Amino acid sequence: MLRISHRRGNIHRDSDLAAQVTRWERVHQLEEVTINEREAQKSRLRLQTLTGQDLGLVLPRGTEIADGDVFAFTDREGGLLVHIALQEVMVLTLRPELSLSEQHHWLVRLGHVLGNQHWPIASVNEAVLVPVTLDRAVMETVLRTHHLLDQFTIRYERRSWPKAAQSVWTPPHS
Amino acid sequence: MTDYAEVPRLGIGGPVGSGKTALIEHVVPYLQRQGRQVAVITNDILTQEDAQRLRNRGFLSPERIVGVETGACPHTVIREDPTMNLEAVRQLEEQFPALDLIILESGGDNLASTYSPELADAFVFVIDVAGGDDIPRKRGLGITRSDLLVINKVDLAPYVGANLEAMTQDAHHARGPRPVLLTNCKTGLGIQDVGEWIERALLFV
Repeated sequence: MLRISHRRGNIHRDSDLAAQVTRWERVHQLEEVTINEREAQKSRLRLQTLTGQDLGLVLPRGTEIADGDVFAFTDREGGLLVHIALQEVMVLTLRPELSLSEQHHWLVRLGHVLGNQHWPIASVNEAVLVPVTLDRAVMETVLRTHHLLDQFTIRYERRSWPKAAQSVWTPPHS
Repeated sequence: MTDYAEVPRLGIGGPVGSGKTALIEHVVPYLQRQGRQVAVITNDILTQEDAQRLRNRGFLSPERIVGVETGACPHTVIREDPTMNLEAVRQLEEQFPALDLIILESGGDNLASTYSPELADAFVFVIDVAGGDDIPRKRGLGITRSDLLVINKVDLAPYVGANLEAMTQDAHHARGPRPVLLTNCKTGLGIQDVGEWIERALLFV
């Protein structure tokens, strides 16, 4: 079984590492694995790499794996490149014409409704993200029942789920 | 022995009465026979009923069994806010640094119960034939997202009119490549399979 020792970095932020990954690929020392957002939050995973290698992934608690992360192996050359499958996300944005007090009211209502459904949410800038885990029509019906579709605009994206540190609200114009 | 900071954690969830505690009563001794050191955390709303039941069985010292009184539907403390369970994990890790596995048992929330990845490295969802053979077709999050689905009390199928074969097929259909195992905790059927799955998935045997 392959085991990883530590995270070397991320190819999306480190061009030297991206070049190293390309070199590993040429000499067949690169292993790759694709995981989903939920798996990316786990500290211990047993996986198969794209070449069929058995892989035991153990990370410090609280580690969140990001798309493009590269890990070193404990006992062989090369590295492991992790891809995270994008997921469909509902993106909710308050209608801009609402007053501040109306915004407060409807955001609290939205939080209550989403919480009652146990749907995970993330807040990024002025948008609320909800993973699409049911039929879109079912999710929209829940929101419509509580008159939220009159107050929020909805669009859908395929995107990575924001990491905890990124999913905080930041005031506009700051 | 595993480094105490990295003791693997397994969630065992499922509807009330499906046999989660019975499964633990049989799987833990199996793991002990393989030389594993195990501790268990149970979650009940207002009592320590499951913890006491396990203590009475005597296969683990009482200190290795922690009962969490959730004060609310137990699913809330394994998914939305797992801090009470994380504190129980921390205490067990400090008290027993040689642990190989911590099992976190919780019922509630019917078929939608799941574990926060922050709390459990993997989770088993336990259903039983007496709960209705249409459960896998209903595809709750426990059915579709669990790392292992256990269909328990298979011996009761003929007595409750459950079609076990269809139930198993539906479970595989709902879960894709993820495993489904059949157990009967009265006879021990399937217990070794569950134990081996735990060792493979979490202890990397």
